[in-house]
Amino acid sequence: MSWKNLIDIALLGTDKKTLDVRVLPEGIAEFLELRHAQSPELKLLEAAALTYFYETSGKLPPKFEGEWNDAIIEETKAVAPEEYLALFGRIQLTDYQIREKLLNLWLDVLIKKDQIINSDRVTQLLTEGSGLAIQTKDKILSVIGNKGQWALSLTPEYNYKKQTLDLSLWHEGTSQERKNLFTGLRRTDPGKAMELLQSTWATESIVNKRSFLDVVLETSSAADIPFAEALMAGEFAHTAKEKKTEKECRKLLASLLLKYPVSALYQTTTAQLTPYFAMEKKGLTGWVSGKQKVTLTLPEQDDAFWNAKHMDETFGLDVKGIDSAWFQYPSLFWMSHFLEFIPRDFWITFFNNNTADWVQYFLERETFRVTISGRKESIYKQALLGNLQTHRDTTLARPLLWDMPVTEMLDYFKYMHPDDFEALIEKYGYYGDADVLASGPYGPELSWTLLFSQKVVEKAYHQATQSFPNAMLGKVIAQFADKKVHGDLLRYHEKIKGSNAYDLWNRVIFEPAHHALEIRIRIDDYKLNAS
Amino acid sequence: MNLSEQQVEALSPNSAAFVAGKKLSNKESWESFAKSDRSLWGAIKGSGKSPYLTQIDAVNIAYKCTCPSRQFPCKHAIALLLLHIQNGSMFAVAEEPEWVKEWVDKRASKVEQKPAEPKERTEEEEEQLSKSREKTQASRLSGVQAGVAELELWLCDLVRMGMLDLPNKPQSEFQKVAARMVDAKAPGLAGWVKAFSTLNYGQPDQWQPEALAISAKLFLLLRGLKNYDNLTPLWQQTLRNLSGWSQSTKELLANEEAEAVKDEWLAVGQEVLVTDDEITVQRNWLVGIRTQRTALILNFGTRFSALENNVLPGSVLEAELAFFPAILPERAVLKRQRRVTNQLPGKPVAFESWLAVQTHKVAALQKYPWANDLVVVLQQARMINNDGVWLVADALRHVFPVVKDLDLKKPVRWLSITGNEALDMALVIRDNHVIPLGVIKENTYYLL
Repeated sequence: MSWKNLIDIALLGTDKKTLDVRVLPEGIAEFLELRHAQSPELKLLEAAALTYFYETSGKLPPKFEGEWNDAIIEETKAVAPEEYLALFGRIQLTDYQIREKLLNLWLDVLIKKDQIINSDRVTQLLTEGSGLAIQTKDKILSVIGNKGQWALSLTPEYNYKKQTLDLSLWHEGTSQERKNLFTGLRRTDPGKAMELLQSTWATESIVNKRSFLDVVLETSSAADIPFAEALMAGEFAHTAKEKKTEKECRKLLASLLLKYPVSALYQTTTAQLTPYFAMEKKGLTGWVSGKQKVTLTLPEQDDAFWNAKHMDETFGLDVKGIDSAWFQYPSLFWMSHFLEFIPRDFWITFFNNNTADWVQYFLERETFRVTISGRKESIYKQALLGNLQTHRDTTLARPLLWDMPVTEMLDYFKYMHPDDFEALIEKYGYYGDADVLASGPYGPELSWTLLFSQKVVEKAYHQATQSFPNAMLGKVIAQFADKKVHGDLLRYHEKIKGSNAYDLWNRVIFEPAHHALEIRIRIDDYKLNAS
Repeated sequence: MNLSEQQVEALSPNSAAFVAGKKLSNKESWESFAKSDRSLWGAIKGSGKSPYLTQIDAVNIAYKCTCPSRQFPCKHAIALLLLHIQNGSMFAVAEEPEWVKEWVDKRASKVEQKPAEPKERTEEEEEQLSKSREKTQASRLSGVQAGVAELELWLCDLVRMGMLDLPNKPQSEFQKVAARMVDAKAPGLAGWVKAFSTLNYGQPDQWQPEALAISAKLFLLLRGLKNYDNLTPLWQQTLRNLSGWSQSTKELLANEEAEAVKDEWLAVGQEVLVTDDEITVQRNWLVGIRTQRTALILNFGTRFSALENNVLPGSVLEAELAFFPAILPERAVLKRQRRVTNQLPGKPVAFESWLAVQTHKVAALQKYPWANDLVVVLQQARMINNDGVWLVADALRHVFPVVKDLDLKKPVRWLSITGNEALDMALVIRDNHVIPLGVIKENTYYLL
């Protein structure tokens, strides 16, 4: 208590409160009693000095009263060889664009071999992974062993907890939080997501309903058909006094149903569309080859199918706001909606199952082209790109993207088959364009073919010797090239030594590519050879 | 030479240099590399025509490189060390080339060399020199005494008016008083004043007792300085140190009577701080395996002079340390060093409990009331997370809290290395908290 008394006096000041030495420990009090001549502040400071050491010396460490855990954690998995684990240090040095991919490859091998890292590296790995994707973090959790897991459980600051969705947000969260939760659940547990949605559906506002239906369409599967059909037949069936938002909900539901051939709406719609395709044998060769000429004739005036009432009531499509510069009459506009959602398999039946012919027909037929700002444009290009995106249809990607300007293709390269992508690069000679090369359809396990990789490295070499290589090219090679191209890279590296271009080549191309490829080679060697 | 990557990182001047070195730590980057029983060397392609020649004295850790870098060690030396850690077996044992041999020989002879004999002076010269020294010292002491009087007045004003006003005081007031102490040639006292300005005023429970503790210790120091003339020479020396008189390493090494201790010193931990004046202060804590002595080796770096990294944390230095004279001699310098290894020749003596450590601490305080940063090794220590607060527990379940700003990596490293096994742990006791430094497991010291 005496130290506390001294603090109180010191805080208030000796002008306001004086020290009564009798509250101090006996020895200190006696000592201070003898020093009468001191000012109150000196007396307080002296008392504080003596008491501080008295308290410090007598203060014993307290005994732990909480739950005592002395269980020792043992490892049950084998630690991977040091040579392999040391690769982690090299991965840490690579550029951030490549690092996570390499780290994933390295982790995948450890997981496949059921091995763990040594405890000395746990903090490094946890720190490295703290800002990375959840999937990478999950892999890290698999290789840090029991000790690492235990360490992590006591240090929540590392934020490695499995990302669980907080279901309470469904009832208590804001609209945005609820939408995020629903989107997350649709990806991980679509059944649970729909269960939640249906539990509160009756009380949701129409705006919320539209927002959730948007997510349902984006993440849809055939399992959603009964839900969508029920709403189409009930709540969102057309009524005379319906709101605009209700109509938008119908449009979302109809779009969903048009994606799946098993849905009734798909079947009736495709049956209604079919008569508009006129088939005839295409000249003499057509008779010989069996090829038919197809013509799609869309009515300029309303008919039983193409009319505003039917489009509105069945598909939620509008007639207002159509850009007449693009679509001269409504049926052309409504058609773009069907082209976007109905899958390719339906359309190509009219083109002898030839996707290229289908694409060509809709892109190049004069009726479907308009002149905008002096340029001829296809009115269905966006709809076809939408179809590519909706169905992630690699077969559609090649004919659709083949002749498109590269700036328009970047976002769609990911839907191409890797062989088509390489063929496209070959066609346009984009071997030195890092942006294009990086947009390709490659996941963590896929890489360019060796021949393709060799051409990219060759191009990089020529760029370095003749001009300025693309600043990202080395990193793109590091990420996507076949690892066997490492030999070519070393050969060019020797060849360029001594020339003025060496530094540029070394910095922009060789260093990033060499390190990453070497790491990939070592990871693969360990994956294939070591036990 | 048997170092770990963590040790090389510790001796790197900064993280950028370490990363740059790491990037060059592959055999392709080097034109050649080899080693002898006392050195490593290599040639690496740089931006110039000729390769850079890098060499490392493996006995008395030192580096030399022909590159123009002003960083020390440079990235090439760091790379060579890392390359040796990763691919030691690829280093051919060879005869040192002339450029290596010459440098290592020179260093070895310098280490073995006794400090230069003081210049012989006549009695008259000695007397004159002594008078001149006394005059300088007296002049400085009078300056310090003036500072002491001024500071005591300021401290008395503080407690008279009440410390409740401390959080409202502008920083400029502390800076002004501290500057006055520097003018009075007592920079050590300025440090105590600055301590008031860095208190956590957002936490009354924290700053109020700390403010009084600082006042108490400072008051005792001021009283000691006022009583300077009545004290023993060793106490006078100690108080001069506390008030900020610099200590000359050169004079210490030349002083044959200065205490020197030969031992196998385990470098249990390191702390690097940068002061407001942009001076890098590196604290290296060592524990003598045989003598049970503890030591503190301080290194300093500024913008104009690189930090000398002569102690590798986690390593064992077979060396003789010279201690600066003080009531509780702790600060030391390397006098002679025979070799550096990572092999523990034995376990340092460890306290069996926190109660034993407390007894040790009290004995130190009794001798020297400003004793702080006590280095101890505690037997059977565990780290415990108690509602987010990390504690170090002994076998009897007594606990000591760790410092508030402890790097989270330390407990995680402890947890993952030990798997909750109670092991001997090296720690520094700072005020009422501890800084865990490392653990000993199966005859190996692991830095935390």
